[in-house]
Amino acid sequence: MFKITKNKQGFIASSIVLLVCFITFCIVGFIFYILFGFAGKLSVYDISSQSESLNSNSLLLTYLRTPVEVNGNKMDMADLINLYYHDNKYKDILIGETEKVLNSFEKPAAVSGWNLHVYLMPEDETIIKIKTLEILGWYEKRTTFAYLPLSGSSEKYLKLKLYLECQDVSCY
Amino acid sequence: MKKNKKAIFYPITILIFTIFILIVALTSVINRTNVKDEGGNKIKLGEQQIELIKTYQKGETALFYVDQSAKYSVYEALYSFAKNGTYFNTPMCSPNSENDVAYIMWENIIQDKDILCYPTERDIAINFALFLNNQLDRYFEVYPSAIIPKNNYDFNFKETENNLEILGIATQNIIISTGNSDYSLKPSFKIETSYRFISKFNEYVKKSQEIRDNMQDCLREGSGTADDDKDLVTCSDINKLKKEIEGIENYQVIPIAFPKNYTLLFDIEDPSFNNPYSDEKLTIKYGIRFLDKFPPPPTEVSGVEERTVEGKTTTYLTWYKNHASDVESYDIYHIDITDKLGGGEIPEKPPTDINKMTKIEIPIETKLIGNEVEWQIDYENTALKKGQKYYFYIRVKDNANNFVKNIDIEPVKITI
Repeated sequence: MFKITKNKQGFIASSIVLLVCFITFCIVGFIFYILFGFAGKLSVYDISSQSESLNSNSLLLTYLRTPVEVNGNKMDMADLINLYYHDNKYKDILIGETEKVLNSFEKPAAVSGWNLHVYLMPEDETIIKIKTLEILGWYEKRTTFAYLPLSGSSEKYLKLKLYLECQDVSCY
Repeated sequence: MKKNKKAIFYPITILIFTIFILIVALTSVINRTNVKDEGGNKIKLGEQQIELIKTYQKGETALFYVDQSAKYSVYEALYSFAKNGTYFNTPMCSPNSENDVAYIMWENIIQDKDILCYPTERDIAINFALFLNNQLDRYFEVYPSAIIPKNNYDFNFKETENNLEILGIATQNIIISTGNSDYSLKPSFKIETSYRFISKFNEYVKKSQEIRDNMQDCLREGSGTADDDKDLVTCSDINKLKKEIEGIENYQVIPIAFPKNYTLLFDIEDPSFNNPYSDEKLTIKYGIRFLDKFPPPPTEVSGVEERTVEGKTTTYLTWYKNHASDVESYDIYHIDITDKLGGGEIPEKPPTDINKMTKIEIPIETKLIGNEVEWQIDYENTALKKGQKYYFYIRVKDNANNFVKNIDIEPVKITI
């Protein structure tokens, strides 16, 4: 019996230690839960932002391949850009058709829009900027480039830049 | 008592051990976003896969550039092809005089020999392929994102009822390097155009040969116009030629006559050509040069004329001006006509063999009066006698020393 009483005191002491350990374990578990979640999100964010950028390259090629009829001739947007470079009379049709295509592309945020810039290379001279959205304090996302031959010229070519203009930095 | 104290450390040890395991696990998770590539360099999770997709896209963008270049090159190559008379490089038919420097000759004269360079269907296809490869190279040269091989295509041309299909088969691949590996893709393409240039140019060749034959016939007969100084101009009458090339509205022939040959320079604007990327018209330029092998047409003797000046009478033999523009000299042939006893004449009929007639050997000085040429009959230095009856025949030499070998028009009976 005496021995049993002594054992009871030990039991109380070890229970306190166990309780403290359990609480500490829960706190540590919670902290690591947060940390693991954050670490996971970091990699997901990184892969997502890069894959969105990959999608924009496909969008640019889709845009360039979009069929359009000019002067009764069936051609694509890439040809229309070439025609515009040689003759300004194609400006309205180019802007109209481009806006139509760019507006059809999916946007990740309410205040965001796809814009297209065309440059003459190698001078890097801006030929035209077609914007479906223009806001102050914006962020350029998902930027992608493509190149076009310039009909009738063997020394110059066109560079196209497609990007997403966002109001919010978190839009990607 | 001692045993109980030891038991207190047991859960603490478990807790510490658990924390240690979690730290190791967290480090591992964090490190998994920074994996290493084959070279041992630190890269992010999925970076290799993303780079691979980016490389595919780079290839896709390059292929799009190739397709676009091919579309423009077909039309631009056609302009050069047409301006060079279909030939990319043909030394035998190349221009060899300042007057036709911009024209490739489809028929030319080199060292007094006819060289025929009329392009065959095969020539048309081969030469167009050279122009097309050349034009493609110009576009590929400036492409900044990858190296596109030059002079890289074998072509297959297939004409349908309304279209021409051009299949460009790449012989070398585009190589896009991605760090440790290379991505290789074949930049072949297929283009369709409504301008069926092979059959079109084949038609031009046939029509040009027909025109050349018609022109030679016309020159052989003379222009048929007495006062025509340039029978080639008459023979290459623009309205006549327009009818010969069907469907060609804008058509220009610039004839150039050299002393020993004829040169026709063609400028044909083809209205059936439509370049959707430019308003520039397609002008086909080529030339045809052939030797002047045609003796002048017959010369008709008109008669004799007597003129008395200050009591002195002079007799002139007259004939109509020859219709050839390049007449160099006239030869007069005659044969005496004698009366037969009992009627009739010797010869009974006008001679048909020039060798039976006598040529006046002295230099013939002629004078052109209106539409007629006259020669003052020289009784002193020739065998001609006043009051005698003769058959006269005039043979003409041109500046290329062409003349008929025998009598080509019935000699005329004249008493001088």
